[in-house]
Amino acid sequence: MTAIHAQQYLANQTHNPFAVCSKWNDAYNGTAISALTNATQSHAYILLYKQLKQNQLLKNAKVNAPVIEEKVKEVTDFATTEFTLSGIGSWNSSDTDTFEMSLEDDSLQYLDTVAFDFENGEFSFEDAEFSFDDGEFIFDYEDLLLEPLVAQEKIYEKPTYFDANIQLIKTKFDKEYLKYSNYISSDKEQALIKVKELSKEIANVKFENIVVELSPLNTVKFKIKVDSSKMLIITSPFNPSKDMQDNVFFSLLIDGDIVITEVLNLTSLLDGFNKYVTA
Amino acid sequence: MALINTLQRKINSLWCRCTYPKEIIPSSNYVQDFAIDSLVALGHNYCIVRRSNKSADDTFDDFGQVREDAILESLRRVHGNSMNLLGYFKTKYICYNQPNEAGKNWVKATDTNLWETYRSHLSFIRKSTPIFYNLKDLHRKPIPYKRPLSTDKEFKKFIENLPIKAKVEGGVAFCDGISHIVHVPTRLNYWHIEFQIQDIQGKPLKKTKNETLSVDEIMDIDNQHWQDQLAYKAFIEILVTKAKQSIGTIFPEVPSSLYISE
Repeated sequence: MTAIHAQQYLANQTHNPFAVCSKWNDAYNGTAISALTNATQSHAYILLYKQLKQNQLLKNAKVNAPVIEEKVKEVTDFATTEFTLSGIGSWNSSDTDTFEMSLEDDSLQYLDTVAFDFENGEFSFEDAEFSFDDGEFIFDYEDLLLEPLVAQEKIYEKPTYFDANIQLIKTKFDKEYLKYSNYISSDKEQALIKVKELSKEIANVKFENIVVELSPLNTVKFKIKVDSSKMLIITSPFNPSKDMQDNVFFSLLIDGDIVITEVLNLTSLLDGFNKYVTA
Repeated sequence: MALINTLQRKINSLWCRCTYPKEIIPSSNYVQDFAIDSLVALGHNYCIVRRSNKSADDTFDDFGQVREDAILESLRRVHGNSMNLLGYFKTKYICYNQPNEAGKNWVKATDTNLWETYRSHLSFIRKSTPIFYNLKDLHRKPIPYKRPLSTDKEFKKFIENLPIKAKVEGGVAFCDGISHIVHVPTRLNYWHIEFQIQDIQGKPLKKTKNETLSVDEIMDIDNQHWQDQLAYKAFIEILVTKAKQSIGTIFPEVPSSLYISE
């Protein structure tokens, strides 16, 4: 279900302002689950990014489901008072049937982490309940406290690609960190600060998608898919030597082949790279 | 607990014995090995599969690219990396592990009764994720590296006598190694192949100096020990970059003229 479909669905659900919809069948196909929520005095729009692999949902299914993510889109046309919460939620699998989801608000503040017990079909988010019912994903969040980000009826600017990028990077990193934080052998807090700094710079690149990967070499790797043929891979050490403080190791892949591998200052690299892709 | 483990091992072993694809076991009328170049010359799109012992999520990223930590154990294992030639070998067979004696190279002249002798060594690996490659992406790919002339007199002489002169700067020769896929049948898997690396002199890569490289060493890879350069570049530029999460389902089979002895 796309965000547009979800809007239409929600528009038809006037009797239930708290409806959130999505089709599990879509989830089985690996598509993102879009969840729209409508609050009493303001409406909150949460787009839950979901990265579900089929084997996590349906154990007998194939494992190679594609991961599709949808960008946050603003919804403003079906609420009496307007406020927009653009959120990114990610589902992280574990070996069990428990899924974790994190939500972020527009200002990138971390709200909470929820756990979803797939077998029982229950989902808890503070006092909110998710239920799994015959092909539909229902999210009842009556008691969910979401603070309006801004005053009513204010017109908000849509997030620039920088905002969207930085949210996406954070979500991807959080997911990676949950699984592979043990790869960080240096000070973890410093490492998180480093990732945040790198993210701010990398978010300036216009890209289609990004993967953040931690490696046992105590590095963080950003795989930036710029378009269907170009991918920039930036590797930064968490504990670099003095000579390498501001430098990163990067590779540029074009159509799957490495065409350049070099060590460079990150700012210079991204400046040059942006010029290259926009030329 | 020990009893349960023993029982599980027994069941695992029994399962392997019952379900192992015996058609991949070397047969007495097979040739000892065949040249991969002959296969490449046929022009078909031959494919390769390698097993990751991690889940699909821990093997591939969201772009379907292999995670380095899924295939990097040691630089010393880049040369001789185990793989299987798809065709008669099916993707699902990767869950059968042939350790110890069963995984040793098949010697046609002396190895007999392979199944009866080595079946007890088999094990079944539930968590197996296939990593695919196109044969042409791995075979005969150049791997640039630098090696000081002063390290070896024979090497210096070789470089100086090359018909096409290699670039030499500051006493360091700019060389190209090459990757090869080599057919190395094992006792219970005729379709076992290896990824191997040869230096500019055509010698197989000997043990690398280091097992792994630090980030600083990777960032300065061209100045590392030449064997480490070769292994690391082969790993990154070939094994990681060319790995695929999926590759199709129909694979050409090796023509019998290549592997059946006359």
